[in-house]
This record gives sequence, C-alpha cells and structure tokens, in this order.
Amino acid sequence: MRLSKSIIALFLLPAVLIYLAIFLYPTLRTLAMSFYDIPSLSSKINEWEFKGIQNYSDLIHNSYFIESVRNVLGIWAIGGVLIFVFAFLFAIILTSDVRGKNFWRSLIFLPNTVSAVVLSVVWLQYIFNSDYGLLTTVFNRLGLTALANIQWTDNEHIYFSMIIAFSFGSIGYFMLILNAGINRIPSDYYEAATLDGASVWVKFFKITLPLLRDVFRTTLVLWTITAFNFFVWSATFGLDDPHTVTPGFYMYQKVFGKGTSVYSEEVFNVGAGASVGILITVAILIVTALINRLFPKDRLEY
Amino acid sequence: MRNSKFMQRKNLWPAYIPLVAWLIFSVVLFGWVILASLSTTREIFTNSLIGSGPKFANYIELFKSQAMGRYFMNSVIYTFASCIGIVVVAAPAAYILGRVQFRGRVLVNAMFVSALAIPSLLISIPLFSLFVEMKLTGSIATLILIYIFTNVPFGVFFLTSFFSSIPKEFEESAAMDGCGPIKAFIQIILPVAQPGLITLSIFNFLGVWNEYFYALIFANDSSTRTLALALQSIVYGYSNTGNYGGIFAACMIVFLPSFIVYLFVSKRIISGMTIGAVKG
Repeated sequence: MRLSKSIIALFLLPAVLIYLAIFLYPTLRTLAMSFYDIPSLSSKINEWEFKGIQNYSDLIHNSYFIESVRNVLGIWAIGGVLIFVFAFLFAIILTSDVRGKNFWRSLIFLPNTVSAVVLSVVWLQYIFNSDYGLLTTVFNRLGLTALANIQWTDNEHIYFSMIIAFSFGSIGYFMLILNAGINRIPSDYYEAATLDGASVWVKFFKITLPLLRDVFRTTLVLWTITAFNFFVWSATFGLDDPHTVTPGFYMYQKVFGKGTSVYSEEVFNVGAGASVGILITVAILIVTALINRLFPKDRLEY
Repeated sequence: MRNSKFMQRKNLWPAYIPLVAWLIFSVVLFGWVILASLSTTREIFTNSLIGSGPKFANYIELFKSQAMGRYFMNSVIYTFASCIGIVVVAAPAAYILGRVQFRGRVLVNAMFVSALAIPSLLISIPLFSLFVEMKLTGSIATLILIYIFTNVPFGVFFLTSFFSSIPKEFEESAAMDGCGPIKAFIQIILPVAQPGLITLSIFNFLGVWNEYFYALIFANDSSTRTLALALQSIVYGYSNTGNYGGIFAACMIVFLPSFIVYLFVSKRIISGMTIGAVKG
C-alpha cells in the first residue's frame, strides 16, 4: 500500500522520537558518562571531568563489584540449570497426551504474573520463615529436625534461597517457549519413527533434542539477558544483603541509593555507575556472540 | 495423533507427578496466605489459622492507617493511563511498518527491535537526568510517561505483525468511499486489529502493575508510590512491629487484581507470549 510521505511521517514520528530520546540518546550518553567523573545526577556537562578508563579500572579493583560479578555468574549458572530443567520437564509433559493442558500451562505460568515484591514477601515470610514457615513445618512433621532448623534467610543461605525463589517465578515463561518449540516439530517425524519401531527415548534423543537446537539458543540468549540484568530480587528478596548484590543492584545503590548502604563511604560518582551499565551490556553482547558460535543456526528446514 | 509427540497415553501417569506437585505447592501457598491474611499474628505463630473465625481487621487497618487505598488508586492510574498511551503511540507506527512500503522501513523496524535488547539499567541514569532537567519528576505523570516511553518499542514490535495480517481490501474499500488515510485507520483498521490491541494491553497491564525498577527510581515518595513499593515499605514496618497478619493481607491486595485479570485472560496471554517469543 502507498501513502503520502506526510502521513507516514505523522504516524511514525511519535514512536521514532521516543526511540531516539529514550533509547538511543541515553545509551550513547551512558557510554560517554562512563569515561567521566560526574559529581551528581543533575551535573551539567561542563562539570564532568574526563577520566579515560579510570572508572573501569577502579571497578576491577573494587572487591564489592567483583563479589557482585561472582554472584551474578552464580545466578546465571545455578538459576539457569534449575529453571531450564524444570521448564524443559514441564514443556515435554505438556506436549504429551496429558489431560487439561491449558489448565496446567496457565498454572505453571501463574507465578510469572505475580509481582516480585509479593513473591519475595511470601517466600521470605512464609516458606522460609523459621517459626511457622512451610519448610520448617514440613521437615518437623517428617522428623527431619536438622533440615527444619536451617535458617534459610541468614547470611549463609540467603543467596541460594534467593535463586530458588526467583527460579520458581521464572520457570513458566521458559516452559512456554520450549513448549511452543516442541509443538512446531511436525508430527510426521514421530509417526515415521514409531512405524520404524523407535522407542520413546530414541525419538526423544534423535528427533526432539536435535530439532530444538534453535529454540535452545533463543532460550539461552533470553536467559542471559535476564540474568545479567538481575536487579529486582536483590532489592525485594535480598533487601540490601551484600550476599545477594549483583552488578545491576550495585549500580543502583551507587547512583540512586540513598545513604545507608555500605557503598556510601565511596566517593559519589555517577560515571562509575554508568560504567557498570556498560560492562553489563558488553558482557551480554559477548556471551550472546559465544552462544551463537556454539549453536550455529540450523541449516535444517522443517 | 497430532498432539502426541513421543509418549503413549497408557503409561502416562508418571507425567502427572510433577504437575500435581506444582498444583499442591501453589494451592498450599495461596490457601495459607489467604487464611493468614484473615488471622491474627498470634494465630499465625500458634499454627491455628483463623482459629477464632476469619477477620477482615488486617485489611481494614491497611486501608485506614496505611493509606493502601491511595496507593491502590496510584497503581490503577499508572496502569490504565500507560496502557492507553502505549497503544496511542505504538499503533500508528506499527500500522505504517506493517502495511506501507517506504524507503527506510527496514531501518526503522531494526530500530525498534534493537530497543528491545537495551536494558533498563543502561538507560536509567540519563533518563533520570533528562526528567530532572525537564522538571518532570515528582508527580504521577512522571511514571506514566516513563511507562509509555519504555514500552513503545515492544508495542510496535508486537502490533506490526497484527497489522500486516489484515487484508488490503479494507483500505481499498475505504478509499473508494472517499475516506482519508487517518479516518480509515481509526474507523476501519483499528477495530479490525482490536484482538491484537487487547492482547498487547493485557501484557502491559501485568507488566506495569508489577513493575518495580522505574517505580523505585521515579516514584518513591509517599504521594506517588505504586502499590508494590507501598507493599515493600509496609512489610518493612510491620515486620518490625510484628504484625504478620497485616503483611499477608497487604500481599493479597497487590496480588488479587492481577490474579483476577489472569483468571479471565490466561489463554490469551499464553498464546500471545509464545507468538512473541518464537518470532523474537
């Protein structure tokens, strides 16, 4: 269809302006800021002091930041395995002949629609509570007093507790993606394999897994983006506990955090926060490129 | 045969074990939190939920002395205003991208897709400075604008495929009736694209209702706070004073609206989700 140039411009302009002002300009500005020492969020550009890569080399020598990187890599690896195993298990079950697929799918996706604050409070104040909590009650009933006495939210356990609680709320989304991927595989393949006398396991390993390679790659990239930007749960579940701090949360505390945190003794510098944002983005780009290397696009058409 | 991938129905019972386990876990959580929200703190600690019958005192207290009503209204305003704003900005752009051939279309398309990969953390600092410079902080409008702005790229991306699937005849007959392009878009195309607009708005509803990061940065004072942020500060206060019944009642107030929406539209969310995910 053809329309006059002025109509095209009129329809596109608001969205394009928003893209330029809200996405492109801030991205470039954050990149620029990461090379400067900037005393406050409202500093004019002439108050910026050029520092070269000083902000970045300070970060690498900052033990809090290194700790936060370690935390986020652990979340990426442990949370990734947890989420993927359960998401894939449910995705496979829901492509078999079980009854009530729509119900199960909605039920497993439900936690993804709940506010992270609500999920965190329910996990902290009910499931992990050491007086009346779900885990304590169940373990006591079973006579497992050693397990019942674990303080799930103390310094030693809060990191793993957070990963478990967070993963529970993310399984549904990845289950849907994997489920849709399995459903796209033509059933002829399975029918032909069945006629040839292939067992369930042969069909799974020779048909399902190889044909899901593209979907695995997409899932892995999506998970990497989610995990590297990990922020909300450090704030809602970790509640400033240094054991749950990720680079994203470190950046928030450095730039927007008010007062009481352990970082307040560091000199306030918005530029350092910007360089954390840049590092997160660069890390995502690198890992995505690696994933695309490891799982090259499937040449197989179906 | 269409749905059975590699398992036969007869020995399917082990497949129900994880499903039923998930169901039991969800029911226990949901049931316990509801009952706890209707109980006193003493009843929670003595394992005798609603021992003296269900009481709404926790809820009444939240609305009376914690101004939960105001935060609830804040979140309702944020959610509805931004859902409408996103469609108003994204639909015309998606219409052009989905149906009209023009030079630079590939570039504009790539722009919006690339915006989907830009993390909110990365743009948050300049965004905050920008809003301070334009004196846009500290009011309800701040966060509404932020939500509209940051959700436009996904809206454009999501609606483009909807618009491109509408048959060309609609505009052709509109043109023959002497309808201008703007009138044709509003009166003919938008009603046809309604299912897409509704699915997008449901996504935006859930996304904005539960949003945390931008709310924390742009609306964290007592007059503009969202319900989720209010929940966090109420929980903080209540856990210091030991009002555990109130904590769970506050959770229910934040949870129920999104849950009720989800009950009615879960099928739509799930099918929309997989369209977006597989194509992306």
